Amino acid sequence: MPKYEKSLIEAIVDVGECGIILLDESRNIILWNSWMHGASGISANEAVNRPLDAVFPSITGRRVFSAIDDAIRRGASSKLSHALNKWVFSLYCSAGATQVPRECMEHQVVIKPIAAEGGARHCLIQVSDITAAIKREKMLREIAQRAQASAKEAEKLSRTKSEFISVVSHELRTPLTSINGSLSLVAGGVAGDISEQGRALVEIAMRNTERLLRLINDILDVAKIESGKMNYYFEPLKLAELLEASAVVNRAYADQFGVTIEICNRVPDVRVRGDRERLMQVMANLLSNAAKFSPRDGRVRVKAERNGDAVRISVSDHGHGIPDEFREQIFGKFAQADSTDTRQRGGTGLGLNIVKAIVQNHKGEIGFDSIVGKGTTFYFDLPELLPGLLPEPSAASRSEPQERADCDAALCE
Amino acid sequence: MLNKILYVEDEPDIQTVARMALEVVGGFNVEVCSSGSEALEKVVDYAPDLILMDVMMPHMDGPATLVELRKLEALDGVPVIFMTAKVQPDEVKEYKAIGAVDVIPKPFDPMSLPETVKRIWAEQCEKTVC
Ligand SMILES: Nc1ncnc2c1ncn2[C@@H]1O[C@H](COP(=O)(O)OP(=O)(O)OP(=O)(O)O)[C@@H](O)[C@H]1O
Ligand SMILES: [Mg+2]
Repeated sequence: MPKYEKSLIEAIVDVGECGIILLDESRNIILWNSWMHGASGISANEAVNRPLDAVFPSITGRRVFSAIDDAIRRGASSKLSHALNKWVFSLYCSAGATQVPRECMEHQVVIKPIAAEGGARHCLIQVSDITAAIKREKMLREIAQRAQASAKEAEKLSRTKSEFISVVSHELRTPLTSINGSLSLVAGGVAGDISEQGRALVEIAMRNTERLLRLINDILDVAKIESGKMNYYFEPLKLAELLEASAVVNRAYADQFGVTIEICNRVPDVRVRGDRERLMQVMANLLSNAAKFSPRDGRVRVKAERNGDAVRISVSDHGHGIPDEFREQIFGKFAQADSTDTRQRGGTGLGLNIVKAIVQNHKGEIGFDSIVGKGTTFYFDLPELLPGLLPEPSAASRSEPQERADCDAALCE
Repeated sequence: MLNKILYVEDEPDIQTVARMALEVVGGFNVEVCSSGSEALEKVVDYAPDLILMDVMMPHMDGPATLVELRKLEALDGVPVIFMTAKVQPDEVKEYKAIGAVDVIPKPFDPMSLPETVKRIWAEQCEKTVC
């Protein structure tokens, strides 16, 4: 390499994006680039020929001081870890040069021995600005912390919500338990005979507490669904048994409207995986809707049949049907076709909203066909539970349901 | 024969309703306690045939009381029934795991409560030959 003028070396050194300090063997500054001038506010003229610790008195006794010593005496290089060696020199970010106080520069220091004339060893100090990287790191840490905090917050909120649901359900049911109980005892003559008018009034009160209780249950179910707190207990279920039980449970309600419930089960052997209580709830709402919107002495038919890989359960009535313009809203909350008729038949319009959520949780879909003036069929599909997947009953009991598919053929049309 | 029932319930109104149902409709002899600790105090002297107990009670809830009751030798074979609104399947499983024989959901119908209690008692007798 040819020998260059000192000015050329200085020029090259000044181009770089980092601070360069060269020390002689007695730690006197022999080179101080313009980057150092900018960052420290000390010019090369002021710095050169002075010992480094005179320019930066704070370095005495610190790790950087011994690292310089190591370079000069033993020829060792070192890179000072930023975490342990913050603000080694008093340097400031140039961006805020006019700002008071100026922002301290986060910097990284590398120290290297340089072979000088006559076997002496000098020391090169390289300083780089890592303020931006440190800031980014800090920001990322803060973002992560904030995300963690908001996840915790969300968890707390959801816990509060489910606590709320459980407290409300207990607090609302407790007074209703004694209201309903007292009325039932009075109606049962436990408190003595009551007049006919008295009985009529008590019955009104009882009917309405029951209605209130149903409403509370529905509202709590909607709250549970919306906060994802609805619990399901899946188990293998005999579909035939489930449908029969639902017909039995809802018979009294259907009787009020003079409506009969008929079952037509084309798949008497089928089992599904489901939550018994919840599926009963689905059937109760579909059956109660079908019954209350049926004409007097109407028939409501529950049908089960194969639909591809799934089983389709449907509930049909010969009621007034569902107008097209109501299709969109029917599964919404508090959705009721706007008619005085609906008001008279009671209900709050939560039933189908809950039903849809339950069916979807069973990996099923719910839909309906309706012709205004003729009738409505609501249906939902459930995946069949294949026999290999569960303990089968004995062969004897398996053959017998064939005969139980005895719904009269006319009904199954 | 089922005659003496120890009934544990903290809510006074529900107490009145259920007591009337059990005494007047069912014709049972009923001792009412308002807390788990009161039940533990009275139970040995009263020597009930059956215990009917609420789940959510302050201080000592139904399940905690049941665990203590089960430690009393004098009560061996005395069936305990919970009466509660908390009847999710896993809750019921929990009650049975600690030794409750059955659960009556709230709200209950007081007119049919005695029959229900009798039925559970009869089922229990069959199992243990009492
Ligand atoms: N089978 C049917 N025939 C005619 N209209 C129906 C039928 N089923 C539902 N609907 C209409 O859809 C509305 C919503 O039904 P949904 O079961 O959600 O509520 P509801 O029965 O009115 O009240 P709830 O079920 O909450 O007691 C009903 O009010 C009615 O207008
Ligand atoms: Mg409905």
